[in-house]
Amino acid sequence: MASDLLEQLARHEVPPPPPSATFDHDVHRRVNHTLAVLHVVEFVLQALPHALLHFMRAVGGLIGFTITGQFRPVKQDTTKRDSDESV
Amino acid sequence: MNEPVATDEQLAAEAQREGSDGPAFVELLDRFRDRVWRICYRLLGNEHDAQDAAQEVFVRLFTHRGKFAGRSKYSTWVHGVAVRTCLTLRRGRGRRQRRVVLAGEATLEVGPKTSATADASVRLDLHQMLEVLDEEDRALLILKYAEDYNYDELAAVFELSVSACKMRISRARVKLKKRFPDQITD
Repeated sequence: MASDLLEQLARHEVPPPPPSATFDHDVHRRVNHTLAVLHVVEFVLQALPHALLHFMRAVGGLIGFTITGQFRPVKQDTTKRDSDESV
Repeated sequence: MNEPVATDEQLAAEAQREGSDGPAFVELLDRFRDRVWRICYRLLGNEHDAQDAAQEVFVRLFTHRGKFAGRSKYSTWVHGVAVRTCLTLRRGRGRRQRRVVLAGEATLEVGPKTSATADASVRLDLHQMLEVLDEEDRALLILKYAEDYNYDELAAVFELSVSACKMRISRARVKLKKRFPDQITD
């Protein structure tokens, strides 16, 4: 036994890595899976709330119309109108 | 005429612009496959876990590719990701399970009663010895003695100062010396 066992760490051979074709294929599969999960998470956290917000606005407008009998006044885009007038 | 070979940093910048695992990332995978494999095998101690960890390292390299700011060499950054991934996996598994795996490996490796037997027992001894250290100190010692990293490289990979690395390795050796006085020299 060597005087310092730590020195023997370097003597242990590392086996060759798995075949590159198999390894790369597995990495790509995992990357694709991760990307798919990230896209679903992004969709759930960003796109769905955005869509729900707009849907709820429409429902709110419908309820408002049912109660008051009038459409809510639509806000005009004043900046666009000003630029149109300047032309 | 030969095209100039892109540096790792140039490929990393190119990989950041790619939406998926395109040619630049594939080239980086090709360049660092062996190196990452060695680190994972050294830190985890068996092929199955090393393969799982090495694949996880490349997934992290892909998902975090926008975080490489170029303050260090790309290879240093890759080694840091590999070490942190292995440490995370080891912490997740727990020590008890690791001992079972190591004991099983040692039994499997004991074939003819010659040097292979001795080698397996030494290997088991080494891994049992290193289990008394905390995860980061263990990784520091393995990279220092098994992979021959110098203190500058260790400091960059572990995001420590050189003096902190020296101190931690020294303290780890003292701790091992206390537990296993016959195996560790001063």
